[in-house]
Amino acid sequence: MEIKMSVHHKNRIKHAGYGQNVFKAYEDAVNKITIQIGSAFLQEFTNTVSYLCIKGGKAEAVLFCKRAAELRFKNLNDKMFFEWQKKISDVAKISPKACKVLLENNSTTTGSLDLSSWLDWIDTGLRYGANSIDNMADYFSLTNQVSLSFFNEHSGTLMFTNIKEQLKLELKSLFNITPDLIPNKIKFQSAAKQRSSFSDRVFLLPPTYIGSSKRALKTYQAAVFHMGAHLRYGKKSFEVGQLKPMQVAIVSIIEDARVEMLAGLELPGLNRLWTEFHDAPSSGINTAQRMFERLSRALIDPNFHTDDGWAEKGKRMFYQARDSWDDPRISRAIGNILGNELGQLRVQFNAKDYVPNPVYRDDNNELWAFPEAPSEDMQAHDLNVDLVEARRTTRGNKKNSKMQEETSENENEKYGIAKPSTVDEKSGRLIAKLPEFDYTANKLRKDWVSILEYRNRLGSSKYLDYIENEYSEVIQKSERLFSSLSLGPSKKLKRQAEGENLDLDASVDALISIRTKTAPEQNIFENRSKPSRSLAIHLLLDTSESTRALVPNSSKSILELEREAAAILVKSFNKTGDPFAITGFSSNGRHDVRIQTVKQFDEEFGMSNEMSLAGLASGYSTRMGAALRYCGTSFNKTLTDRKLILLVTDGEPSDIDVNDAKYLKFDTKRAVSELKNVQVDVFCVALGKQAGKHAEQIFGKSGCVSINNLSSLPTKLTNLYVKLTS
Amino acid sequence: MDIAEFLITQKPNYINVGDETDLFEAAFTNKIPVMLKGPTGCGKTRFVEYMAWFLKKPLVTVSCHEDMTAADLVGRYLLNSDGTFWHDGPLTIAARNGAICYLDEVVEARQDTTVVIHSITDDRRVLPIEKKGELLKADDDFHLVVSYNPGYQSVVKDLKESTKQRFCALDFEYPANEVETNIVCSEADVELEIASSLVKIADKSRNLKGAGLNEGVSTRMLIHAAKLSKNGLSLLSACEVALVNAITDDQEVRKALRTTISACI
Repeated sequence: MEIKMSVHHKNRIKHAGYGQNVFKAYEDAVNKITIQIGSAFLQEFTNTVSYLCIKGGKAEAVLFCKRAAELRFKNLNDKMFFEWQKKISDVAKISPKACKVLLENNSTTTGSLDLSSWLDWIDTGLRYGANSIDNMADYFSLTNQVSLSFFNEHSGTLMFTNIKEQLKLELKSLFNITPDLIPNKIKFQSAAKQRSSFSDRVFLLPPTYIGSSKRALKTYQAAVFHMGAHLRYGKKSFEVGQLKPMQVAIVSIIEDARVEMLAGLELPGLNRLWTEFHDAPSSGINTAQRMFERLSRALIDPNFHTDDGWAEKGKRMFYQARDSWDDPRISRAIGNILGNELGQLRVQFNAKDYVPNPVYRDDNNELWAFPEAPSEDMQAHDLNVDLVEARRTTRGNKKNSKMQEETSENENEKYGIAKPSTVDEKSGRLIAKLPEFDYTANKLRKDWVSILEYRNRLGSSKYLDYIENEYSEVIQKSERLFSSLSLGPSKKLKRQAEGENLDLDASVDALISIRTKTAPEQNIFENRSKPSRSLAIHLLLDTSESTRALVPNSSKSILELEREAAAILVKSFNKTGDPFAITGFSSNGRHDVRIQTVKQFDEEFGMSNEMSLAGLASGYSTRMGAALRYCGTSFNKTLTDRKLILLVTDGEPSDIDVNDAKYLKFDTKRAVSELKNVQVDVFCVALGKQAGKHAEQIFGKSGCVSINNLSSLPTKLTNLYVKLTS
Repeated sequence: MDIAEFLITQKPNYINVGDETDLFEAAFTNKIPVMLKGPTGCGKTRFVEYMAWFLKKPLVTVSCHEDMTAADLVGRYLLNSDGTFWHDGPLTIAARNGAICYLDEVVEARQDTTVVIHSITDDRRVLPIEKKGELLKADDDFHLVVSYNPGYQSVVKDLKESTKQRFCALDFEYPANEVETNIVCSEADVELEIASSLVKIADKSRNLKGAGLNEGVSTRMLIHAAKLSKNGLSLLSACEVALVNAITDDQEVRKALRTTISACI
């Protein structure tokens, strides 16, 4: 039966007119994969090949077959294979271009991630590129900083950005220096060769040390402390002069050892840290790279003995010059001698392939004064020309805009402070970029959503009058209630006429007065003051498309009722004097979270606000977490003890660029938690049973209430406010 | 009250770092109140104890706090079975008996409390005790000393200018490394090598002042760490408990301190 199936599928591809290349690739793949996991995969596999041929092109189908045959997930079985190919197929359906890029890197990505992480990485890419196929292709390409950052996140590799602040503190503590720490630009394929580099103001570091995941933190620490040692103990740069590339490399090794030994004398722990990385064996092949590694180890570890006479000689000379370690000239002197000897031994040195080892060491470019422009000499040295150029443009040049942009991008921004922007959009004004939580990567993605403020549609200027008439009884009841509310801390009051406790000082004074036959003070009690009212409230109204729907048994829409409820609350806020703000929100993808500002905290509620409230209109989707975070930033200048966001919504978080139903729910939950950490409470009024269910999952039972009789919203919202704030 | 109770009979262990003893003695001779300014745990209180011992004067110490009232300094009437009686506060005791009165962390007290010292710290040298109807003339040997940590200054917690200007001020810093090492050695009774490592740690941590820490590690904390290390605790663990955990709750700063400690040991 299996053989029959196999023949059937093969014939399907053979006779479909896709060409011999496709069939051959398909047949090879099927044979190899069947041996691994059996033939259950065949049907879907064949479907995918067929689809790719039709939609993507035959070359893509061939690539797919090759990659399928090479798939190397650990413990690969038919279920895993099915998930892999389904995801490839999903991407192909969205964008054949992005799928091609994905397939090209498939060996790398599936070799570095397990299936679950790989699927999450793909999903993140689909979200990232939801509005742009080019972005999606870029994401899968692994050729730029952004795509590498995402990939490394998912692979669990320690990112430099995760520990940057810690490294800065450690450099300040140990060396009392504060350089900018900036991730280097890196191509994925050359990552293993990447080294750090530095100037007096900037340390460039790899965004991640590929292959060093187990001791990534130590690698970064070793790297920055090594560069710190150069700054502390290095003097001015060496002149290249007539030195050959091999001599330059050897002098650099001696200088590395010199500054490390000096630093280690003051801070012995650093010496232990760096020594850990030197693992060159005591004997081995005599290539330049290996001999340099033995020399490096011999210099830092006097207990290391090697069969390599040349390295041992270097060690002897270095330690004999111990009393002169504070003089950089010994590096050049020893390096010259060793370089000449190595030349006489006819050891070949390939400057192009040379990489300073161990991995934490810098590229040594800062040690050398290069001629003004990259020349043939530099090419001969083949010291990383790009880095030299980058450093030349930044050395002593505070105005280098690229470095400044990177510096400002990498500055640690406090969560909750919306980053303002002056970019004007055609139909909305970009006012902030805020983070969003990706639960699949367990990561808060910085600047993921764009908040745009839209010009308000203006309604009636007599709106509050209309509300006053329509809801007069409700308004009167609520005003009575509000006047008896109070919040905030109570204070101790001494020398009171009444109170639960005696004021000791006042009591003693009174007794003294009695004994001295003078009239005593009557106020001998202690009391506590009523709490002073100190609350700011931001009313956040869902204005998504679903609020256009009419309320059952009513001619009013959900949004109309939200507006009316808000207007009643305005009357009450004015009575109590609580600072308040009102905002309507909706969204059209993460790049367009739409805010309609009805009233801000620092303005009086006037006619324009009234008309803005009356003019709120329904449309688009409900990216709730982003809206909550935006509201959170609005409290930055309020000085009240309590801060509350009162969210009124008829649905669950959703948006057009998010397929995963859980994604925005998790993000909203996360936003609520973040706001709580900065003492901003969030309470959700959910309109309808279904909305109530979702709200409970996100805000918890005590963080929400469900109003099923929507017509009662105006009344209930006011009562709810009284309850929440008393 | 027997003022002799306030005499310091055993020589406090204090190592001069500069000419502070001479300066204090000069201020004492001229009855100029002294303000000691410096970070916490750098030896201000120990210095005052030393000077009190050296000058053979009683020392009355008051730890100031926000709830302190003028009555806490000057005195109050109390009740017993025989009736009311006046009880001198520490400032009055010192003024009456020619002692040194030391107000530690004076900036913690409210400004309306600290103004009570004004009349006794200018050339009048009198302390009005309104409740008794007494105008106490301070003894010739009375001397007022205050301390505070400028690093904790804020708009709310600061001395009035009129109070500050009644004093001459001595600046205290953490001692030089060699001196601090000797202090840790002798106070904690530990070997020079351990004391030296601890002082190195403190020195590095002080680079983080204003960049993660309000203050670096103090000499007092080093002495704590040194003492802990004598009881079977490794130096790393002693530092964790006495330095890292005590000085900050910020996790990143803690990690940086741990790295610093590992580098120094």
